[in-house]
Amino acid sequence: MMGQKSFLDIIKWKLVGSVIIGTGLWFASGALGFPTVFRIMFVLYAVLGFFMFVLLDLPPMPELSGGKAIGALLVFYLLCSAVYTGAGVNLPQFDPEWEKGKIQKIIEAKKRAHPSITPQELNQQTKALSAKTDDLMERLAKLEETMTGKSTAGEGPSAEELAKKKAAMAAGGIPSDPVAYGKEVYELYECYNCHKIGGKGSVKKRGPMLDNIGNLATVEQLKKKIYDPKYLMADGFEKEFNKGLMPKNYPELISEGELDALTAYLVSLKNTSVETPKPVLKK
Amino acid sequence: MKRPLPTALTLTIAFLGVALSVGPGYAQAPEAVPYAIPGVENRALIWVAAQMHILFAAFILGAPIFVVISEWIGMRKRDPRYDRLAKEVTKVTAILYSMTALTGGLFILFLVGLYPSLTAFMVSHFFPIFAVVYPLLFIAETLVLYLYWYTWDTLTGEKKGRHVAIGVLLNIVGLTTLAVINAPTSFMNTPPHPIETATLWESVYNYSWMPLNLHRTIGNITFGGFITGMIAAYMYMFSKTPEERAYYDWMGFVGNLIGVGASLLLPLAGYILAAEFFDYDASIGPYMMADQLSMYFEMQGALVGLIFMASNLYIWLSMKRITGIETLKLFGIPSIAIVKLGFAIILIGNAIWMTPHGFSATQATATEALELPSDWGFLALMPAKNTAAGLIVLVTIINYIIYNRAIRRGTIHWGKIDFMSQFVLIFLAFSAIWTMGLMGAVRSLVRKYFHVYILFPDYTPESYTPTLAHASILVTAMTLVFFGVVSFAIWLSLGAGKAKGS
Repeated sequence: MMGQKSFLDIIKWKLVGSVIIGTGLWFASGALGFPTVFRIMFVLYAVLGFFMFVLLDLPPMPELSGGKAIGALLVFYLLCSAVYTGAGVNLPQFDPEWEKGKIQKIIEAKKRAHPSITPQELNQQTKALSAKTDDLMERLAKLEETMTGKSTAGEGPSAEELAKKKAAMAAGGIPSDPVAYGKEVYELYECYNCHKIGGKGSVKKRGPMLDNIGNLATVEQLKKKIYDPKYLMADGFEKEFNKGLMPKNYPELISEGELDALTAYLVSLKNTSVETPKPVLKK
Repeated sequence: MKRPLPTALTLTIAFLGVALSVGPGYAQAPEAVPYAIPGVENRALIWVAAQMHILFAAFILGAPIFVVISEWIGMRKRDPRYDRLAKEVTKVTAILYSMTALTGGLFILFLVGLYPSLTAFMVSHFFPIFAVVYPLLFIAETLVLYLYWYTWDTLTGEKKGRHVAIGVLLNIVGLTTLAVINAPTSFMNTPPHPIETATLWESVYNYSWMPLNLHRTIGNITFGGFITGMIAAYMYMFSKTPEERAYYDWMGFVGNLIGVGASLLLPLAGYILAAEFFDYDASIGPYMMADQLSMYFEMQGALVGLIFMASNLYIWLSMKRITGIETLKLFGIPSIAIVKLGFAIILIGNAIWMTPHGFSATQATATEALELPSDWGFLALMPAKNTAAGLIVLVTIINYIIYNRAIRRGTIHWGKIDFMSQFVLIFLAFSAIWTMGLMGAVRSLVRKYFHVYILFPDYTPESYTPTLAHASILVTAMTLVFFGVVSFAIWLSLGAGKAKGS
């Protein structure tokens, strides 16, 4: 189908074209503000394109048989293995040590709450809890009938209770400063994936930046929002709210102690220079 | 004819023995302590056993789907090549069936020994499936496979339709087995809530069950197609006669066609599975695409792009062995120019597919110096990715249309294909296995530090996300082992017999 060309004939114009395209991509992407790592990636595409178009026009490969074919196959496998492993090793790596420390903290907290639990016990506990919940719901219904109008809202913890909480936190290896602990909780549960604080975190618009949330929401509102994502919506995030992007499982994941600390941290964020959307109550 | 199956029966019995003993064993020993082998991570052991089992299982479940179609086409067209392809692939399948059972048994032993609490939890939750449904299906699958293989040479002529019917039955049992075992697998990713009131059916029909069934079925056909291409490549390389070369050249083309054809649907199936994860718990989305697993997807983008490039390169090489099509045009444009333009589009599509939000393996350390400029952020969003995937698929389809026109216009010279094409077929199989290993790890890792997401925490020291480097080394090692075993199976079933002149 095609006349035979020398290897030089095959590559020369492709090489020139690839160099022009690669150089053009390098400078154009630089002028458009792409970081160096992306510019390198674009140049690598030009290199890949060069090899691809050379492959298309290469003359037929000489046929191999017997030992030569087996040898060629082994070399080919090694080459494929080296290329794929090399690519995997050279892409940016996540540091497991960071996550190990994080998991340790989460798991230890759960272990403290449920020491040496077995699956059978877990099943029994869930059944027992379910029965208790039903019982409590019945009692609440009865109480509601007899005690309508009486509320305990607005009562905060006493100074004695707060001191006890701090002592318990310190005993469990938890920072005694609730704000510092709350920042840790924010990182442990990867809230940064959707909520930027201090310019760090989500690259995509999934949730609002929270730098000024302390001036816009109360501790109680934030607690309710975290445990019940439909409680309030950030102004301008209707689409995300309606999609239900905020996970509903935080009551199962984040303990009340962690929630106290997280909300203490969030209400401490009062940077008015960052535009944080106003909360809109939905319930 | 060779009879390679008895080992499979022995292993099946052993496997079922282990499977059936799991429940009662743990009822007597609830405090079982996990074994630990010095110097080896428990997770690495279970990872290798599970992945090797899935690779073999994928082939033995995926291959019969197109095998029976090939046999049926052969019967309808009276073209013996289709029947031969079906028979040879089944022959390899029969040997690999033993390996599926063996690695499955190993997987269960590792589960029981290394993760006793999890195993007890899963068995107690899915007891009717593990103790009754799955073993029965496995026995049925074994029996029907035996029946299908051993009746190949007896159910011929007018009785061929009955043999095809057995093949259809094999696929029904196979796909049911796949769906049944996908239930506990998908349950670990997306268990129903609240679990304490969930029925067995609700646990089976969980959020990601159907998407996983769809993804694995399509993935298995793709995988089977590319492995068929690899079988053909091996046989082509070592063929002694022009007739053999012509046949294996044709078989390689069909294998690639099956692999590529099914893989056109894979991006959509993968997207549906990921969307279900996201819908189940939106925090899984960023974990996969922007946080700890983001570079796994970067690697996947590169692999998928290379698979499509290689598939189209194979079509290009196939066209080179057709004479009389020098003037072939499509829409008034020379076909060669269209194909080359298609490669440029595939390259650009792949570039868009691979462009991430940022070159950072976690958002916790993301900085602007590693991120796309905000004006170009759209390149990393799904509409851009979908467009890129759509373009790559479209170019591949156009190339097949051009090929189809070429074979009508010109003369195809089977057995005269560029020898490089055989390495392209092997590259496709290698890349498909590698991608499967990597994405299998991703599906498992989205559970984060839970064995069963949110429900059953992973208290082991290896509950963290492994680095891409670690995963890549393991996946490469498993791919090489799989290639070694499959190469041996091909030699044993198709090569060794020929050497003796049978």
